Amino acid sequence: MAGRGTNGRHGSRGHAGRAAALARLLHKECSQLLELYRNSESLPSSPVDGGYLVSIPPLVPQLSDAEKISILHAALKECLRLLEDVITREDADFSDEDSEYKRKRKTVRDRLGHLLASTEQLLVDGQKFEAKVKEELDGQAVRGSFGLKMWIVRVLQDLVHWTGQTSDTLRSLPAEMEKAPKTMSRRTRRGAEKIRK
Amino acid sequence: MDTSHHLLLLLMFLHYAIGSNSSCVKILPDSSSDIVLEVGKNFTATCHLLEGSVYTSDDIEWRLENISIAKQFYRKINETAVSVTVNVSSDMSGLLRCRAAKKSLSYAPQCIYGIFLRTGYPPLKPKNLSCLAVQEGKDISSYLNCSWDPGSRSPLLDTNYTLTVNLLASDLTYKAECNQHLARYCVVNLETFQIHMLYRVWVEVKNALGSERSDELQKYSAYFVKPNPPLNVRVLTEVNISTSLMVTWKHPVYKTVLKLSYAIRYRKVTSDVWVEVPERFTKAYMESFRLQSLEPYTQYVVQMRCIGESHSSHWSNWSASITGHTTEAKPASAPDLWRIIQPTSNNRNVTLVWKAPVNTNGKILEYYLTISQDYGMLESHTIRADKPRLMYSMELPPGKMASIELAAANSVGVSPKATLFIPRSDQELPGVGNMSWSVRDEKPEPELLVEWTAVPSRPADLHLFYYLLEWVKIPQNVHQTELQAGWQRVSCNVTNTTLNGDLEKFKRYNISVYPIYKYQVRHTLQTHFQAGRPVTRPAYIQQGTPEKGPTVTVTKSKKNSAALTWEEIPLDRQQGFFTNYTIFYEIRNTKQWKSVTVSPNVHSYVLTDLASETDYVVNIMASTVAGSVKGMDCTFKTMKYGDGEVEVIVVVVCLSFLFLTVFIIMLCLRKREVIKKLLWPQVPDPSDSSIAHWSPDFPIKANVPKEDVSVVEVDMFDGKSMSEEDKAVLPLKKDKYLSEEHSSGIGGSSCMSSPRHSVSDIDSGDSGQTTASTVQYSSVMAGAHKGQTPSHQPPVFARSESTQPLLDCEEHPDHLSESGGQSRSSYFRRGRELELGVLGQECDGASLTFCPVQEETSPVAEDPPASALCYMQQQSGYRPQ
Repeated sequence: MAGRGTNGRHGSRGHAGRAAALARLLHKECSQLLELYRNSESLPSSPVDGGYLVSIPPLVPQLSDAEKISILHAALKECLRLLEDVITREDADFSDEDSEYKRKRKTVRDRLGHLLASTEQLLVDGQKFEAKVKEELDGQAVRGSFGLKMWIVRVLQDLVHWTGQTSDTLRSLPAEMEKAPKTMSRRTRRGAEKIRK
Repeated sequence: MDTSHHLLLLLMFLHYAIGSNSSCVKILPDSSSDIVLEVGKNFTATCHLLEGSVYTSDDIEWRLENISIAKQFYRKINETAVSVTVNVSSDMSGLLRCRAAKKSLSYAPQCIYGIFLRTGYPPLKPKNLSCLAVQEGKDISSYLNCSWDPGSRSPLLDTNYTLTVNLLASDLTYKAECNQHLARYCVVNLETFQIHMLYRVWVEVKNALGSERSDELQKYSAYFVKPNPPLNVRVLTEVNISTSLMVTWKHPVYKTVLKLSYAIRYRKVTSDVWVEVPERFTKAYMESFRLQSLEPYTQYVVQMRCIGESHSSHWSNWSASITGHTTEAKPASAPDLWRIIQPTSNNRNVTLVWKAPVNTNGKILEYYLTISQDYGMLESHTIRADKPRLMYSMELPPGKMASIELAAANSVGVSPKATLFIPRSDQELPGVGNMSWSVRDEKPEPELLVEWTAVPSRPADLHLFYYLLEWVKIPQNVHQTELQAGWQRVSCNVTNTTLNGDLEKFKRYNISVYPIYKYQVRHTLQTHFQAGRPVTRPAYIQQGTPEKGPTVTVTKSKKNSAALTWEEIPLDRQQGFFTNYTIFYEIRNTKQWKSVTVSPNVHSYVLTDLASETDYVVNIMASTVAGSVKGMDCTFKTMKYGDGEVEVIVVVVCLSFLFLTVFIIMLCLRKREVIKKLLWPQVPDPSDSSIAHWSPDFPIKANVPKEDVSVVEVDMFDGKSMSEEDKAVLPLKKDKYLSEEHSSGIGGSSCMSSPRHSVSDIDSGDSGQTTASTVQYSSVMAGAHKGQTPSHQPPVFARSESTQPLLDCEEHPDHLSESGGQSRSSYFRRGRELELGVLGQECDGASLTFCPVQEETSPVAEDPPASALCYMQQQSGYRPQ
């Protein structure tokens, strides 16, 4: 028995609120994923030094909310790319056996894609920011098994950080930022469209 | 199966094609697969004769599955084409053939062509689509289970249902197919259930006749979620608040996944009715709630469920029941006090009974009972509540009144008081007019309905407060710990009610109706609750067959009647009201029973018209409305004679005997002389005999003829009674005595010391006259006797009998020594004078045989040994003779 108001606004914040809830959920799941990875690889729980892999322009207060979201969206997109690199590399190097880490990893990847789709609907047309990645998978530092694992930890730390940032930013959006979900751009749709049976 | 069928048809087709001209005819429409037709619609097929065919349209015949189609459905298009139109029904699937053949004998090969038909319906539009994703652990399952209503009509064809889920933001689409004729649900794997995302869901159904698509369900993902019930639900007792319980729980899912609101419901353990806490109190995202306005000391069952905030998801299931109880409070109501009064000869036994308060609000520990008689000193009792019977017995004289108060106490406090007033016996207030009861056969148990009429008249200042119905089981079983009685109060406005007591079947109860009055005593200003006079009726909730039959006893049996009595069966075994007793009786073993029915209050009966001196069997059957039971058989026998018959017979017999006796006496008196002669023949008096005048000096022969001599011979013996020894000796004696007689003559024994002498002679001549018990008297007939002429014959001894036992001494000398001499002397007293006179002269003492006769005058005679000696001397005295 479904309750009433299921098509209504999410709380009092509508679509932005849902995106914020999703970002918050993703942030929590990224934290869980990082914890699972550290446990599975017996890595110390202390953060890896070296700063974040993904860098964006500073989110100064002078930026508008839309600009902030666009910047964060760019950062999350890079995070998704890095995560997919991680998945590809791990699946190539290690066995295919199912584990909670892998399930969570897949959940995070899917959820991150959905968060990107959700935040994209909040973007103002024409605004586009780029994020940079300090060190890619094929970089000098990612050599040897330990270096790879440290790099993966850094990717996951970035995920935790940028999803948290996105969550906080979305939650702080004023009501006027809300708008109805818009149809996805052709480019995004083309990239994401998959039919799964 | 289907394939082989087609193969067979193909072979047939090839046969026709090879054996006949395969190109001479064709059907339109034609298809390489089945032609699917919609049931209910018309279908037209046309058979064309190809060019060069020898047949015309008149030679064409349509057949469906070997059944020829009626000509009326044909339509001749031209000389080479004929169509057929049929209304499609669901059973028309199969081969439709067109055949061209001559009706007359012909060598022309026939032309055949066929198409395969398949019938069905187009799919209906699925309705009421709904989807569900249940919670798995802390996440939501990726499997979305959707269901819909496919409609009731089967399409009869292979139908495909495709469930499609589209994630609106990312344009991801997930599909699942279910291929049943009437699929009602399908499960699609979303890989990851996306939270906070907008989903579009629809189902498309498709078959050969068409396709339908359900309405689209566009919902945020939470809409499909069914969370688990709240976790770790606990019910905590509030120590200081007796009307409250604290409920705590844990969220079943992370807030980030689904923010929940909750619902709580509770009920008493003893109730089935749930009370739900209004949602406005529990919609917040919280993990505890305090239930309030509960009853103290009561067990409650609590359940919880949850739903997405703002009803954004499905409700979860209710959690498992958790039980908790509130704490105690002081009793909120007074105990239910009543009394049962049993009057005795000069007193009243009052049993106070009560029930715990309705709202005990805790465990009642004790009761405080206060009794005041005639407004006198208060008498207080504390009664523990764990006693097996909540009762108190007291005696109350008929002339006294009593005021009773009772309060119940638990660990927290004391209840309000219950009061009861018992007036003097002569001050009873009026009772109800009349009362009756009836049984209503309600399921599952019958009920006892009691009706009464209102109090006919009562004083104006009496206020009828309520009615009280009391039921007391009779007889009371003394072994049972609980009082077998109950009561209930009903409003004063009603005059009938159903007893709510658990009355036992087959047991008798006394049902009483009391009006309860409430009034205020003027001088004490106390409020009294006083019962009026009861109206009582015995009743059964259900009657049964008596447990046993009466035991009959026959108290009096007469010639033609018998009195029967039987005891009343004990009340607790009657099991119902007796409608009657039936007395069955028969003559034993005849099986011809007769019966008499008597009323149930009769316990004795007299059976009449019985046969005399006959064995009867009787038993008695007791009957209730539910059945009858016979008692034990009792056997009795009627008398041979009736009343007075025996007395009459006795009187008649006695009188007859009396008359007979009198007659005999009269006869004896009249014939006394004859009898006397017969019984007591006349014995000659020895004193008058001639021998009395006989002298020893007188020659025998000269005197004998002239004088009669009577000799008394005493002999206790005769031939029969003598012993063998005596018999052996007797001849010798006879000879001896005879010789002595003859030698000495009777005169030689003048003192008759040797009676044998004469007996021997007589015995030889007339032995038949001797008896053992007779005394024989012999008469020596010296001369003529009784007219006979005396001769010179030796004296003849005539013999007489006497019943007197004489002369024992000869045969029993020892007896003689004791009594014989005396007896003898008495027997011969008549001849004493003679003996003394005669023998005294002739015996010189030592030789006298009858010396003992002189016992009165002679000291010798008084000495029995001397008599014996004397006798011996006598014997020896004969010897010389």
